[in-house]
Amino acid sequence: MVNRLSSTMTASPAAIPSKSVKAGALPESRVRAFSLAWGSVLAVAATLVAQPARAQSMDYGALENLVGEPVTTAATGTPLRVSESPANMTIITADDIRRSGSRNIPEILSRIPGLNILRSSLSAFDIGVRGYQQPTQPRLLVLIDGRQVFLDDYSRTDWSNLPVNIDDIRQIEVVKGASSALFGSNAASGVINIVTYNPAYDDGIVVNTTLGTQEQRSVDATARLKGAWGGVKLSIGGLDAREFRTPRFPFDGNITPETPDGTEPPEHRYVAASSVLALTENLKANAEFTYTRSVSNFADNTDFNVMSVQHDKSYSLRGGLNWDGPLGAISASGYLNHTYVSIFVTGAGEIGFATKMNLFVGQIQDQFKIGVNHTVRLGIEYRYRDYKQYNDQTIIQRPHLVQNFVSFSGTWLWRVSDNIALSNAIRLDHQTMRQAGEINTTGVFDYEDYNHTNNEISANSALTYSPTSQDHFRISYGRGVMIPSLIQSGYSQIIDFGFPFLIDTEGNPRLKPTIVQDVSVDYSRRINSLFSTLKTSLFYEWSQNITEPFVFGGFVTIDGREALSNYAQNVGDSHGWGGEVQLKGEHPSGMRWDASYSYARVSDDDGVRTFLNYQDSAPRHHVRLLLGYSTGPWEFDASAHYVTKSGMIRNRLLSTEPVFTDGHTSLSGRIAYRFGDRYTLALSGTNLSQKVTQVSAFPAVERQVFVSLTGKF
Amino acid sequence: MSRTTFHFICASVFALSFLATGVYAQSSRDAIHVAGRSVLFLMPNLSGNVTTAIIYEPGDAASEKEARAIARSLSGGMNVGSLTLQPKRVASNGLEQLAGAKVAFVTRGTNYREIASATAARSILTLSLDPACTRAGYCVLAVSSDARVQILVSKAATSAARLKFNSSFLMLIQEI
Repeated sequence: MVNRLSSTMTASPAAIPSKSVKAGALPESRVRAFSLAWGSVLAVAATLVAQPARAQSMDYGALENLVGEPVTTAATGTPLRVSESPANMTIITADDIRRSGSRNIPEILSRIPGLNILRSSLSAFDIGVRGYQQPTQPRLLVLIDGRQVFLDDYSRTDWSNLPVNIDDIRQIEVVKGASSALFGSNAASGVINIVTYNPAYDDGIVVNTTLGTQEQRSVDATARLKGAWGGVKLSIGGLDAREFRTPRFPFDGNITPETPDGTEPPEHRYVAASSVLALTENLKANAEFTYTRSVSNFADNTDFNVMSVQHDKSYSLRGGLNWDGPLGAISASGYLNHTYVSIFVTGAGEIGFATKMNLFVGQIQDQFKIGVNHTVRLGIEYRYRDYKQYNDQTIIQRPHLVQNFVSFSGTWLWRVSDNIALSNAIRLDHQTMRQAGEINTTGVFDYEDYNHTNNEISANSALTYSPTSQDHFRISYGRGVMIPSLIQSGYSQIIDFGFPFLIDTEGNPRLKPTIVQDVSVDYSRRINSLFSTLKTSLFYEWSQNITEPFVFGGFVTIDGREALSNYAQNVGDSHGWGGEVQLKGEHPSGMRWDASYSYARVSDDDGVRTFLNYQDSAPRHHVRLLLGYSTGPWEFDASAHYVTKSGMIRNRLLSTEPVFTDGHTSLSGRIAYRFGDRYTLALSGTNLSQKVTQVSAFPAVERQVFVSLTGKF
Repeated sequence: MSRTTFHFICASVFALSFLATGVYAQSSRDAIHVAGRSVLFLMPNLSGNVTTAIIYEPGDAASEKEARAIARSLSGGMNVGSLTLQPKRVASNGLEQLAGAKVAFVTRGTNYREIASATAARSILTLSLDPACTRAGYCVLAVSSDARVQILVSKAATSAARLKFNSSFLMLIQEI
């Protein structure tokens, strides 16, 4: 996080904003009063009346058993069979997860056409959608049971720090395409909703212990207890390992006497407790607490894509009510995420950086049917987030960015006829912000620049046509909004590196949100003679006002000294198109297969190419083949991936030319044997074809082999 | 595309073609079990032993055959969540035997209208494998499962029997 000396020294593609332009600004007192009033009302509503998102109260298992296929709420907020979803959605089931042999979610997601996994260390991953890849990926919103685990600091997901037991996941719902009309900002290119088993409907104990290469050892356990009164669940787990010992660039990592290779051993600890209480037959309440902390070596997008070490720690509290009554299914919920991130950088004159963030979300929604063909969902949401920053400053600043959002949303699903359905969703976000901390106002931005509002509209529309029970056509449009990250909006640092001038690095409160729009045409067909489903998709996507942190912004005078300013800016637009084709099936004999090919081609404006270079960031071609076979107590699974070359800018301070990685093949596999009904012993591995594989411009990954024992009681 | 890649893709296509040669028709989902599972979504929830009538038309071979198939599926009690469906064969000319039943399978060949008036008066959930019965508003719920499971619920029949379903269920199925 701006730990490295100096700036990019690259010409700014955007002008310095005028301090005199305050369009739409509200007096600070009014902003505060407004925020306080909304905060109070909705905090009370959400805590006392509070909800679970619909997903929390739904008995997925019973609905799934009923219709014989996975059921989801992720596409419209209402329960739907995945084959009838108005969004491009894939569901990874608990069986898929088990057979993958993987103990981390990104590797499991790598089997979905259109998703690209960027692995920069043993435990650091980023997931790009349809050609848009970068470290600290901001375009994909990630939720666990409807609660945001996406971090607003960089706008990213720390996959190494999720408070979830892999064996407690019922399904992972993946939506490709702009979806912020339903999920809120940052669902710009897609959403991943991780759905865990609901203790009100699923009980039992599951324990897994895994040992592997890289000194990896992990234990995960979940206990669920259900009764007529509801259910309770406790998950606990942890992982220790050593980092890959593969060559790194000299600028990567945080070199210290204790960590001469610039890395720290990856580590993760978590605990999650939740309960569901059936207060009456129609009224259910739930509560949840999670704690998680981790150490990982990750690629820092705000620091020119060099590798750093991060220590993340998060707490969350959630409560909610769900009432199924004459007015429909009404739910109210509230959750609070508190996250502390510290990036330790102590060598070579570098500076440590830390942030504290709070996110509070209160939601009330009602889902109801009008007649028999119209299903409507209306929702209101209040969202508060703030950000405090701690690092060395030559001129002392204590930035504290506060943002409030009030959003109104609605979805309307219309079954036009037996085989045609139309779904529409819209969301209006009203955002206010202020600088509640202490900043130097002689740089680029002052307090008044923070006092302004943004109003944004997200929308989705899809028409589905099913001429037979086996064929489904869908054409869809999405408009997603990606709110700038807290760092991009509120960072502030003035530092003397010994140059004749100071280095002034600032967030930009006047950044425009990135708008992502896409059009997709999809077709799927169930081919009974092949025991398979064929899925095809074509898409076109365009992104406007893409943001980049800390672009050179000219010289300013700070407290009488010349300073080189860098601040976040909108750097341009980008377009992408491509398609996916997948054939997935399972034969009654126990044989299963999943073969897919995806293509994505991105074209960036000059500004985007210089700073982010999306157009080379992900492989254009990706071929996947998964084969498996079950017989008696044995399970055999193998997967092979082939990707073409990709390129990533590694240290923009040194060069804006991408570092290319050649196309490569990777192999993974799992062999498992079940002892009785309770125990499964599995041998699995990833990147098996070579001892070391260069999968990206970041340090290469090593072959990994694991032995795991799982007990279910 | 390199030669290795080309070979990889060819091998994949070949493997899938090989699998396709051994196919045979997939057996259809058991519509009776699906109909039975739908009882779970009634509100208020039923629990324990639930008497489930199987209404047939005496002398109608098709109706009696269907009734036997349903009885076989439910024989010994069909466990669905926290409830057990206990079958009870009821002839269409003896509908007074519906007393105590909460659920009834209505077989083809019976007089749907007469059965609807008898079951609605007793708030019985009527299940059918004939969508026409539900489309006509006589049966509450019909299930078909030729290619994929289709569940049809008649709002009029549900209302006439003073029944209520869980809202998640109603959003998932087709209501008419």
